Amino acid sequence: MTRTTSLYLALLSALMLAGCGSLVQEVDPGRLPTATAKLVIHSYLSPQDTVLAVLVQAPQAVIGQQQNNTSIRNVVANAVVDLSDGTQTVRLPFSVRDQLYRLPIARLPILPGRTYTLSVSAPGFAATTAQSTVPVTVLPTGIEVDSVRSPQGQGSSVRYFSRLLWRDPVSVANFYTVSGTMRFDVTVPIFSRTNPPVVLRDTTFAGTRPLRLESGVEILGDQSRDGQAFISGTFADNVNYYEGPGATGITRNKRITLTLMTLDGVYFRYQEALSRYQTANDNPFAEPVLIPSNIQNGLGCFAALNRASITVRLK
Amino acid sequence: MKQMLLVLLLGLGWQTGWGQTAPTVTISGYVREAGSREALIGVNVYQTGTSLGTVTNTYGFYSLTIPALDTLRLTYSMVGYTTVYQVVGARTSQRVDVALPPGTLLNEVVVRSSRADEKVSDSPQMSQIDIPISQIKKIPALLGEKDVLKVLQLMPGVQKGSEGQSGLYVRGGGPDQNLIVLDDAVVYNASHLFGFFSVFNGDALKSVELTKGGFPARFGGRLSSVIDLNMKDGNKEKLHGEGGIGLIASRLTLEGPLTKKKSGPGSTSFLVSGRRTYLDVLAAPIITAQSGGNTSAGYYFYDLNAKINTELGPKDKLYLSGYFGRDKFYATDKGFNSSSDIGFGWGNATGTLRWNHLFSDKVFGNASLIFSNYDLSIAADNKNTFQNRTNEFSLRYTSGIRDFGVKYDLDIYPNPRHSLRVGVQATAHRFTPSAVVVNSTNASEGRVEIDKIDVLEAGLYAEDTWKPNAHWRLNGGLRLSVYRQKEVTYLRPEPRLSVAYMLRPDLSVKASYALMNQYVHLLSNTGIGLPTDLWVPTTGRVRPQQSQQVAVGVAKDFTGGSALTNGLTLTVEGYYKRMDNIINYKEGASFLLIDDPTQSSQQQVRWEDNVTAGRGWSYGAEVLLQKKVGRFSGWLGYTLSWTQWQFAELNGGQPFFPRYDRRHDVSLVGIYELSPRITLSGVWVYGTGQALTLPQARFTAYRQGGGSNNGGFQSSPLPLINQLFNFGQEVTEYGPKNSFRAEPYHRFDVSVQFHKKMKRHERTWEFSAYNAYNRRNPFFYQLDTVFTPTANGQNFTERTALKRYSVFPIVPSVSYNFKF
Repeated sequence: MTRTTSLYLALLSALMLAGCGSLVQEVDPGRLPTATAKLVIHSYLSPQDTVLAVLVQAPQAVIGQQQNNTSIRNVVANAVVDLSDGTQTVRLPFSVRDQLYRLPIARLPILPGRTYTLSVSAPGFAATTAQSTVPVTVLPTGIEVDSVRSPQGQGSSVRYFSRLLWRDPVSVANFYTVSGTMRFDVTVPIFSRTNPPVVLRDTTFAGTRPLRLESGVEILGDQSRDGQAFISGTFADNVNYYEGPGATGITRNKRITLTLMTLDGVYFRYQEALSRYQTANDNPFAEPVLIPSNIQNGLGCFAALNRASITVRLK
Repeated sequence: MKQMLLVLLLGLGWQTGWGQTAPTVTISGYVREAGSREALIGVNVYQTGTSLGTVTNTYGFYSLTIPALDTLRLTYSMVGYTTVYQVVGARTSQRVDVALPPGTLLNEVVVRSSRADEKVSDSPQMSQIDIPISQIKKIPALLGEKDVLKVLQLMPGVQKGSEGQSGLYVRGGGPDQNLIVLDDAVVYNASHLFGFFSVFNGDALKSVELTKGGFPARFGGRLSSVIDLNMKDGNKEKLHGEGGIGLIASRLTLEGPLTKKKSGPGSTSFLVSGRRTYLDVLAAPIITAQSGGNTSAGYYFYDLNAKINTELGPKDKLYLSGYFGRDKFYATDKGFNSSSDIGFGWGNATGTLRWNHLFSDKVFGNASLIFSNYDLSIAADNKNTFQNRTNEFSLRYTSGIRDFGVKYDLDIYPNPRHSLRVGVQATAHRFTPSAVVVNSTNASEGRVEIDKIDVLEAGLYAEDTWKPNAHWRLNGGLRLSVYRQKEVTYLRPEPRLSVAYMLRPDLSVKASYALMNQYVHLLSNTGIGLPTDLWVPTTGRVRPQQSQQVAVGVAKDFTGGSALTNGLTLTVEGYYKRMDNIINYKEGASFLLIDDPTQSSQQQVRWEDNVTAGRGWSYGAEVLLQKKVGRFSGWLGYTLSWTQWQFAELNGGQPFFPRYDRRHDVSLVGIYELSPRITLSGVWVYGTGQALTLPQARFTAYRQGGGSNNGGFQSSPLPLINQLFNFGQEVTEYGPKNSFRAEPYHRFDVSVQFHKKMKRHERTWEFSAYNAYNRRNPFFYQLDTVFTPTANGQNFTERTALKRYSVFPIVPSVSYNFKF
């Protein structure tokens, strides 16, 4: 090899040594954008509620020292929270017990079709405003309940399924979500602390349990089905009720309530993004999901919804 | 627009009188390289001292019809070849075949006439780049692997994606919007090793040409660019070989005559070329030793190019060419009572049969039969034995696209002022979006197969390059694209027009307009050319993409003067491109997603559910100062551009900069022939950082809670906050999409080549350094959290930082190349 090539190789070796530094380097946090000066606001108005409530939180920084306990809600207690219907404005005080800004709904009635403005400000954060219009009331037209009974031991176990029916009003853009509740009275024996324990008496108390959407879409839109009849997905109770000899708890007076919530587009988009976020979180290749917000200069969601329910008593 | 164009074409055609009455003769023939008899593409052929001339086509054919003369002086010139002057008696039409001797250095001392070479100012075509393969071989490359596509990235208007990637982003369009054609066959995935190397082996290539705007009507099917690559035909004179041994791969090309007859009917020649990496071979003993012989794993890729051509008669030639390349990753592991075997392979195969026929000395025809296939397959087998029971599991995944096509093109040269091209093309695509077959001893066979989709794509075109007088140059045409799938049929006209006005013999202003449709789409999450990127067709739900582009520019040729300025060309162009119905994954979606996030239950989704359509626009200015010949050659390219996208379902419907929007892009390429034995070259590139989406804050998001005591009991009701706000979900706030700019990218590569003529061959040692000043360029960013125990050891603190990951520090390499 020529002298030139030897020189070149020597130069390369020197450069190689210089290049042995880390290929992973920390980015100066000062270069990075941050949204920690924005308030996180959640408030859902409903004519059926008895309370006006606003949850105000501070976001956490992504870069730097982290809070160890992520379950702390980071509630901002010193904010000024005003809610207005255009003619009247009320200020919601902070409730230490509930960790919310709240007032009885009688102070500012929530009416279908009316637009409300929420203004929140707190020291150290950007002042925010948001608007929401309460959807018109849509009443369910019926409920379908079905049960599946399968033999179990000496008795049988029963599982309940239900669906809700309604008609979409014409020329109003609506989104719907349905939730279900099973209410029941359960009677259980109270045992003595003796050995062996003996039954002292029976006691009965009321319980509720959410029903799970087993199939179908969580939120329905009327984009291509304006004015048409709708039917919800199927709700199921997670519990199979055992009926027969040897049952320890006796469940009576079972009632299924399906609630139709009429939503505006703001809530629909928020909820839909949260669902997508949850699914994408496990997928390293997925595009980041941006959580939309209708809070100007803030994060979160201010939306209105209108509820109507049907309850059926199970035999 | 279509009508206007027709009127224009017809009007201009009549004016010039295609059926001239003065006696004319036609001089036609082939221009080849002296020595190898390789057909030369793009050779300027013209009547010396006039502007009457033409250019050889893809097969080296030319035809020039001019008024009859006693003596006709013809000039044949091309960059990198010695100009040949031919004197012929031109009273009758005749065939004149010419051989151009290669030789760049000699050209420097030849004093040229003002019309002595290929000139960018003299053509209506704009926004086109061609780089001599010989120049590509002198430019430094990562690990010494010369890469055609990476050299194209150094041209203005063409950008790379991430560090080291071979994907091209042309004038704001994505890598899916480039039509990459090798001998008429579309290459669907042009990258090896996750995009770090392209599939094109420079030794087997004759030419490469990239068109980024002002598309002639013969091109169609993609929005942003056409990259037309042609393989060498094979040396007709003698056996010739070329090869190289590099750090990661070696390659060998052989070409030569197959018959004793070296020209004329019956003469046949061939070319075969192969390349393979050998990292797996080098690493195998280490992996086996470390695992005690239980594990073997490796990765390799290879390419094979082959071509054979024969002259059937004086008017007929036949070419058969093919490419086959594959990437393969494998890992096997044997344990005490289990074994697993995983394979991951992908690759392209193309084949083209072409038949040239000369209908007359003015009409050249070519018929092509084309095959192309790209497939990805994943195979995983697992076996384990537990308590004398053996469980076996196997998974097979495949996806791909396969094409069968026919094409017929006619080149017609009625007179020197016109050259017409008409043609038709039809391709039957078969898409296999994904097919998974799972077998297990514990369960019956599972098969999830999305139906194969058959579609037909066709195009019909006519274009004319017209030189009405000394000032005007036009190329106008119309392409009719047709697409048929079982749910939809599209028939769309695509008008094209390019115009140049020559202000001076070496200075012209140009303008162009092109409308393009794209019926096949690439679903890509990462934009880095992963083999999992999926080609999908236009369907009833996914519409064709469409773009319209206007460009204006100035082209200037510098002739004469000093050695430094002679042969210099300057082009300055501005463009505006609008793209409609471009597709992208929805937020939160990816190729891995098989459950629909908007459904509460687990339902399998089709790829169409994962994509969303939007529009985009890009505009900018490009400057290219280029010198293709001489002791010192190279170019300076600068691009100033803006690209924005707007999708109803992305970024809340607001416009945003896509990841590869790049405000400034600079490339500086220099090659210096220090002596006949030493070549020095250097490349410096600079580009604005990528637009990325980074987390800005975290918060807990709540859905409405229904306002009920759901899940509680009367005796112990839920707190009010839980009744009103349900499903607290930790989420990340990113701010607007792609609102963070990565650090700028810049890099300097340098190489030195030592050439030496040996007894029987010529050898070249090349020493090079990629990223010579060891810049830490960003490849990706990631959050990194470090947990540190507190002083008392009872607790810990948690600190998160954003880390920048780079892939290539300075990478020196050495390679040995030879040819005989």
